[in-house]
Amino acid sequence: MQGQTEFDCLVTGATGFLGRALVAALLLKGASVRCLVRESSSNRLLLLSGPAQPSRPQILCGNLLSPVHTCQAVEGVRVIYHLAAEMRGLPATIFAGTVVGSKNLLQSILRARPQRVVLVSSLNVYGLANVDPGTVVSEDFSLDERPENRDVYTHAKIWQEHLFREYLAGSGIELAILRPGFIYGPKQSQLPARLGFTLGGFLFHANARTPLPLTYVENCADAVVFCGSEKQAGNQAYNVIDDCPPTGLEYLDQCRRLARAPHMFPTPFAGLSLLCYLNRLGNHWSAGEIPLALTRYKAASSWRGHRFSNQKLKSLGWRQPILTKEALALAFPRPLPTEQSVELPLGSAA
Amino acid sequence: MIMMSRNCIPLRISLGVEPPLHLRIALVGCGKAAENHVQQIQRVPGAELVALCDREPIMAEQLGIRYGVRHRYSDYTKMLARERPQVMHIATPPQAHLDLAARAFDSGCHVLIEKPATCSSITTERLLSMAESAGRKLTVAWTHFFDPIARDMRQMLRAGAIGEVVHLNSHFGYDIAGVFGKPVLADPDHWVRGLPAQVLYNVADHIFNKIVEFLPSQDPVVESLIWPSQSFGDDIASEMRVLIKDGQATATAVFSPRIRPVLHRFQVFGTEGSVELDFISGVLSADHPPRHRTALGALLSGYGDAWRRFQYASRNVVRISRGEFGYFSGLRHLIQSFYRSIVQNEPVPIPYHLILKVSRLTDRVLLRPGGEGCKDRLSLTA
Repeated sequence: MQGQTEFDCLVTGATGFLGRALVAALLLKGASVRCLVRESSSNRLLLLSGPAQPSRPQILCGNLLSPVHTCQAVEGVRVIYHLAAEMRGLPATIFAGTVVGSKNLLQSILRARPQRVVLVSSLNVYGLANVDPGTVVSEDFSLDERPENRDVYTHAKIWQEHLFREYLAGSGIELAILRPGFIYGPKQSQLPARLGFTLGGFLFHANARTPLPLTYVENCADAVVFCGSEKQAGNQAYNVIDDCPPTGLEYLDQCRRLARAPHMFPTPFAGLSLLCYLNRLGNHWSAGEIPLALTRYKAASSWRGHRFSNQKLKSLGWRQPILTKEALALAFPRPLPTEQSVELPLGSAA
Repeated sequence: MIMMSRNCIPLRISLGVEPPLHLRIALVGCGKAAENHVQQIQRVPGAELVALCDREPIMAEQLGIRYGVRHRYSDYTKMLARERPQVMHIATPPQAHLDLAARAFDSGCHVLIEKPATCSSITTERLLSMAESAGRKLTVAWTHFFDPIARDMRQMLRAGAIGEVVHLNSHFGYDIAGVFGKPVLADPDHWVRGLPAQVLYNVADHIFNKIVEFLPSQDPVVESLIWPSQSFGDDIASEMRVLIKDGQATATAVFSPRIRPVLHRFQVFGTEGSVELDFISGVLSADHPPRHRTALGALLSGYGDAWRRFQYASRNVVRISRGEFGYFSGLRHLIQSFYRSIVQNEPVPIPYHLILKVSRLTDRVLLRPGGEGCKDRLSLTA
């Protein structure tokens, strides 16, 4: 542990999908980067072998649940990019990894006093259950006030945002909160949750013609770097969405080319409401053994066709480096036609 | 009500409404196991979960918010003093069980403790004697011990359906990439890493509690092999095979994170038939000698076996409609039985000698004399 050395930045969650792109972007800009990664992370070697990186990040093995590790991680760092969050697992695991880990980090931050903290949150934090369909959602909208009625991950992310604001208020440490839409890119096998409700390999697809709030992984990483360095970006929250995003149908078409798409049922919101009702009936019938996975509150928050604005970030001068059309081509490359495949002459393989 | 089928596979369905068990309940330790406790407590009529406690306030807060428990504490002593619960659920790591249980007994609480009860048979013995001297009741969260299939099996065996028990096999698979395994792998400081034999010790109750009720003596012959598997890493012993002989009965126990699919089964082989409990699908199946030893008999036997499994799975539809089917339905039965034993002054659902027997067997298999960890045993199989 080279804790005494000064570093430009610390990245938590550096081995994740966005984290790897962020580390690469920071290194390309010539920053010295420290990454706090779990000892068990199989991706940590990827951080050291990124293509065309002018330098290597310092890898600090540790866990946000350990205050000792968080203290070591923030020592001598100017900007902290906090990406780490527990996205899957039991509720206790998600809350511990996302909220308790953030609390430990914040306590260390208050002692180490970096210049700025950039928190990567989520576009799901807004309370949209009672917002009209088609409304354009900006950063002025309030966070969901009943997060316990949403999924555990969203609940934890909302709590995390509150915690960062509460701890850093009046500390003199700048806080920039980024709320990216669904982050896509090469080898991203997940589908955006806003596409609809997935059950056993079937997708009940809502709002097929509404633009999806997406951001290409490198564009998102660029926005995060931008907010870490732009003077005006402090103490604000920003939606991170690419311009001209595809609709749900267009995105699924792209997925289908790579055989990643599930079986799809276009479902109007009334149909989803019916599914919510059936889920509730099943939950009652089984005395709670069938989980209440789908509620009308969740459905109304996610699938009523809300649109999201990225004007605030753009007004600071940020522009996505890769246009959406190019980004989609990079994320969903067209397979080479078989007749164009190159046949090597015999013996050349050696 | 108990219905017996032609094949002696009973179906227990409680048709009567249980009288409410008015008790004030509190829980300490708001981690992964706590979620199941809270869900099942809230399904017991009359039981009121009044408070939650965790030394990390956020963990108590999140659980309280999601399940509507208003009083949350990070100070256990304060919770005991203010809430005066009658029952304490202890769902912390086992290293803290003895101390927390002692303070709960001192405050007049009965205690339901997560498995493993403690980290050695000596401390389990102390825990049980503390409960007895305090005049309070104690039980351990042996969820699967009370699964509907386990209760049906006991019913069958009492009716003599398989004759004399000859051999038992307890198979417990484990998914290291699953919701329990992954956090242990990810964190070298995870509390499971601090147990004497780490993951094995943490799941030993699930493996051995099914066996011990069939072993008559306190001191069976035990042989075991334990070694690390590649999937968990060299520092964690994660493969275990145990052979036990007690009187005329023998037993084998298997733990493996490598076998796929991840199985959780218990088999009882008797002199007149055998039963198999599949804890994943919730199906109990019974095997009896075929009536006709011909090719046709063998063919029909296959259909008969499939039909009995189909029948049992269909009965589970009735169970699910009553909330009596699910991976943690056994926990609810245990909680309800424990509360009833308190309110109606009945015997505890798990006899103390079984709790001690499991703890001693776990020690014998996983610890060397003197209480050393399992790492020393790895050389046995090198």
